[in-house]
Amino acid sequence: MRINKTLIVVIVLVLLGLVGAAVYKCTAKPTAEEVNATVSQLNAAWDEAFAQASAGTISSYYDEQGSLLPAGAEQVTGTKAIADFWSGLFAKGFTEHKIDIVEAGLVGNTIYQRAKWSAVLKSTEADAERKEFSGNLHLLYKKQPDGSWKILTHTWN
Amino acid sequence: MTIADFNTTALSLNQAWDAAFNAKDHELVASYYDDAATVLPAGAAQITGKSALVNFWKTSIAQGIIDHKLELIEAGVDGNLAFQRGLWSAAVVDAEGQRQSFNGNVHLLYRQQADGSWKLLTHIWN
Repeated sequence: MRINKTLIVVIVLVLLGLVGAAVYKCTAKPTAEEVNATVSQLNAAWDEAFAQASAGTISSYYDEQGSLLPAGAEQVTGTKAIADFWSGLFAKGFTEHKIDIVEAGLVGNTIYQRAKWSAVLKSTEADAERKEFSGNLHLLYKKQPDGSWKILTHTWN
Repeated sequence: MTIADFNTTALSLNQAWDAAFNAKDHELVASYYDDAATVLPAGAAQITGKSALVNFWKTSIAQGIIDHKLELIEAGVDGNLAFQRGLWSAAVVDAEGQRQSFNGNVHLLYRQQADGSWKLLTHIWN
């Protein structure tokens, strides 16, 4: 009987340990690698929607109150206006957008990312030259009620 | 801190930044940045860290940029992180005495420090 009691105590302690570890894992702050992995997925999805010239998909990656701070143009706020902005760029022939993460961080329900961007302008004219553009990029994401991350501000130069 | 509280903070941070820049005090400008801060300039590589930022603002001020002005459009706060999107404007006076004005969008991300003050973590403009 004494052995059985000891065994029960050991089993209970092991179970408590496992529960504690599980709770810690669920509530612990994500590691830098986990944040970077999340941001890399968001970047890949954004670039893919740009490659598809899908203004609807791109605009779905922004918070309802999301804003663009474009280089050389006024700030654009809200899903519809953001869709129109990207639609206008696709019509001009912008393609091959690529986001390269430099650093990302997570605080509470906010992720920030600083990065580099590049894109190509392919004019619809048959003999037009291919022009490459690049610069710095800053993205701020807000966690949504469903756990997904959407862009609150998008600034580039 | 509520958004309304941070709006008031952001306005005073803007005034302090502009005053330091316009007084050509690059050390004071750099003191408004977090130790791990990054500036993402238009048309140049990103700059991280205190001494690099001191040099960056020293060079910018030495180029004759004057009358810098930050204007708040919207701010938000989440725990010890806060952001501001706004407009910036500045001017230079060339060798012939002609004043040229510049302006664009600006985005500022702040991290609250151990002493409760807010310092810039990222600063990007176009």
